[in-house]
Amino acid sequence: MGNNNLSNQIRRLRFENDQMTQQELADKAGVTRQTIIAIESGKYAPSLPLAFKIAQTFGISIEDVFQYENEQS
Amino acid sequence: MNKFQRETWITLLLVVPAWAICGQLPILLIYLEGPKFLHLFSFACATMIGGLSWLLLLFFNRKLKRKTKIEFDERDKSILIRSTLAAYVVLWIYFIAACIYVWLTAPPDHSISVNVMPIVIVEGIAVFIFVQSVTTLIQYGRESKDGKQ
Repeated sequence: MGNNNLSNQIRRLRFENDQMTQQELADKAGVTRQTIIAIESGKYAPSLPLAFKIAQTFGISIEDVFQYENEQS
Repeated sequence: MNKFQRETWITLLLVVPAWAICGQLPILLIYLEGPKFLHLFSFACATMIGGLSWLLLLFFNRKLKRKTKIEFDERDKSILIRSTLAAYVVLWIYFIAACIYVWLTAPPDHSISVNVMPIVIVEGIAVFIFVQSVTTLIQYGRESKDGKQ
């Protein structure tokens, strides 16, 4: 379910956005708080629409939230 | 623990044992009183609901999602799909084992009771729901490291 190559900046971004709680982010993204916890800790890789929703919530591009590291590079 | 997790615990602790015991009630009535319409109808309804309950769960969660706050999202759905797949695999293994068991234990004239088939179906549904619940909880358990804020 998780993806070791995928990292994210959600935790940092939440604190930079008036210390947004996980519940607030979950409500804005349309998911449960448990899903935000799983994404933040890298245990769940979100779908593309959800990744876009999270990025839109912070008002930044998807690449600024999620980073994919290719093992071959 | 979210709503779906709570429902799964209830299913595992209450629904599975209740189904394993009560699901055989129509079969017992048919065995004792013969195949009357009411008994056959209750058996058909019970097995339909029991066997397709996971589909009803998906349907009603989608309906609820529109009305209330989010309690079932894409992660829950992916967990449900994975656990249903695992339950399906175990169900087939159970059916194969049941067939082999019946062949091995059949009397010399190879005749078995007509009640064997409904019992295999009812217990198959119990196995399916049990495995689905356990694998769902295992998947949630892997991600249960709860963070605050």
